[in-house]
Parts: sequence; C-alpha cells; structure tokens
Amino acid sequence: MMMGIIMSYFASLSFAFLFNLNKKTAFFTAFGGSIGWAFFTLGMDLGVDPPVAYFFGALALTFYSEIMARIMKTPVTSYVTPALIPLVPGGGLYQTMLKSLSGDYNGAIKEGLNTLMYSGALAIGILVVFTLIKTYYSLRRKLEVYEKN
Amino acid sequence: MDNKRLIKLASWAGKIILESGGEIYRVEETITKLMIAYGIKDAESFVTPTGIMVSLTDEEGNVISLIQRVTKSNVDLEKVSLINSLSRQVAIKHLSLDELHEKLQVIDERKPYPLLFQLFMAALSGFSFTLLFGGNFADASVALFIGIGIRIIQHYTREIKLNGIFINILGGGFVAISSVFITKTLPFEMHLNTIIIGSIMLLVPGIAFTNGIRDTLMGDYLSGVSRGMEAFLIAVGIAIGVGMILGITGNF
Repeated sequence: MMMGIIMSYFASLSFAFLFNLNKKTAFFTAFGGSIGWAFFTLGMDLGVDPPVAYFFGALALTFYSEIMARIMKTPVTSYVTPALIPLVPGGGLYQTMLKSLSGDYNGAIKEGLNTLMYSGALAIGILVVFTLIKTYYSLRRKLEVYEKN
Repeated sequence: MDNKRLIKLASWAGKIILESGGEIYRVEETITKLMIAYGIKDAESFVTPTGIMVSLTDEEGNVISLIQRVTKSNVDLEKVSLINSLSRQVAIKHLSLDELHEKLQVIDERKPYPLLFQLFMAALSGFSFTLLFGGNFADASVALFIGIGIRIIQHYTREIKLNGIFINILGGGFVAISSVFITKTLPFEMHLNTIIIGSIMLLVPGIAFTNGIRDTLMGDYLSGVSRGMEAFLIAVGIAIGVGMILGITGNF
C-alpha cells in the first residue's frame, strides 16, 4: 500500500510536468494522485465492488483538488487532470484488446464493459464533487445577497 | 476605445486557453469578462473545441464580430492558469490595450520545459506506473526506456502535425514492439503485460477525459460529446497499435 502511494505520487508528478505546470503547483498536484490511489486501494481492501472503489478515489482526489485550487488560485483542471491519471483503467483497456484479438469475445465484452464502468465511476466521482462545490458557492452567494437586503 | 482591437485581443486570450487544454466555459467567460472589463456592455462568445466566435455591440449599436479557427497544440496547463489570473488582474486594475497585448504575447510565447527534462519525466512516468501496476524492478527499468521513446515519438510527430489518432497507433505499436523485443532478448524475469500497461499510460487521454466531464457538467454538451469521443478514439488508437504488433509477433 505504501509503495502504491509513493509510486502514484511520482506518476502524477511526471504528468504534471509533462502538462507543463510550474514546479510549486506540480508538487502539490501530485499529492492528489496519492490521495486518489490511497482511497481506491482502501476501498478495494474493504472489499467493495471495483467501480465503487474507483468512485471513492475520484471523490477524494477531486475534493483535494477543489480545495487546493481555491487556496492557490489556479484552475481546478491543473489539479484534477494529473491526479486522475493513476486511476485511469489502462489495464482494462489492454485486457479488452488482448482478449478480442485472441478470439475470446465473451472475455473481451466483459473486460470492455468493466473498463467503461470504471471510467464512468471516475466521471461520476468527479461530477459529484464539482456539483457539490458549485452548489455550496452559489448558495453562499445567495445568502450574502439575502443578508445585505 | 478601440473596439476592433479589443475583440481581437480578447479572442486571442480565449484561443490560448483553448489550445492549451482549458475548458469551454473558461474560454467563454474569459473572453466576455475581458471585454466587459474594458467597458463593453454587450459582449457574447460561443466556443466549441475547434473554434471561437465572438461578438461585441458598442454604444451606438454597431456590431463587431470575429470568428477564429483553433487547432490543437500542446497541452500547457500553466498557460491556462496564467491567462486566468491575467483576466482577474484586468478586472481589478485597468491595463491599457497595449499592456494587455504585451502580456498576452509573453504568455503565448512561453516555452515548454526543455525536451531533456520532458524525457526524464516520461521515464519517471513509465517507471512508476509499472511498479504501481505490480511489476518488478526489471519491468520498471524497461518501461523507463520505453517511456523515453514514446515521448520522443510524441514530440516529433506533433511537430509535423500528424493526426492525433495516428500518433497513438504509432505510440502503441512502439510500446508493443520494444517490450516484446526486450523481454525476448534480456535474460531477466520480466512480465510483458505489466510493461505494456505501465508504458501506455503515457498515451492515455487524460485531458480529453476530464475536460469532457467538466464541459458536460457546465452545459456545453456539444464539446462534452466531442471530447468524450476524442478520449474514446485515442483509447481505440492505442489498442489498435498494441494489438497489431502483438498479433504479428504472436504474443497473446
């Protein structure tokens, strides 16, 4: 587990630099990758379904990214994108391709659907946090306007 | 106020964000915010992943509009962030159009990290992903070199403006052929699958995926769909590249 957290840090870090982020932002961004991976493996260890584990991971890393982006006054994408990379189901994609090539179509469909489901779970995880934060801020703004009047 | 110049500068700012991998709503917001900051009351922008349309109405009711075609260049999240803070700056303190032009020029001409540093980061990426997916040290060391190779391919194919899907087929093919070759020739205990999975992560469509989600969420369904499609096609491209080589060499 510790190994995974360290390696996902470096994986995110390398992508942050490849996306041309400055050094300070890159080092902070990479923690998001670790956090996402930690929650993902935690979910897997607890024995939940893999899509739910992916969902947890995406939830945690997006939450971290939103907070950091607001503190550092940078767009959220700079934080979410590199942090999300370790969770992208590249292995599932590979297995799908391998199975469909070797003629195991049942296996290929199963792997393909799983991969789609994992990406969907990631998307929903990100979406939930984005929506919550947006709602929170628009509610707060409304409350401020209300109090002024 | 020189409105013609303003609309040009505003859409230039938008173009930089769009090229560097920003979301649609951020481009639209930046363009209208910039124009409003210079005292225009009626400013509109409509942006898709491949083009920007801006229009501005001045006090006498004259309409000026501008269309700009945008082609993808390299992802550069730093530029997105810089333009973002520039548009905040403009809203607070008044910059003249000349100053704005100068600042945009500086941001637009920013160079990415030197190639050597990028190669180092690509190596780190291959190495850490292979370990992350359960490879041993030998696997990771092989992926390190494959990572460098992928980055070199990406760099030079982008320079000659090759089609994005073809770049990924090429990249996938390179990953497969070099990992098959290395695992067959070197006498260490290595896992072909882990090396390939660890190395193809460098090709994975991260930006298209996150931006697709964000665009969909902000109500820009058109670009949400097209970016989702882009991510899907990139994934298919990688699979074709890897699959073709593994098929030819008979490795599955």
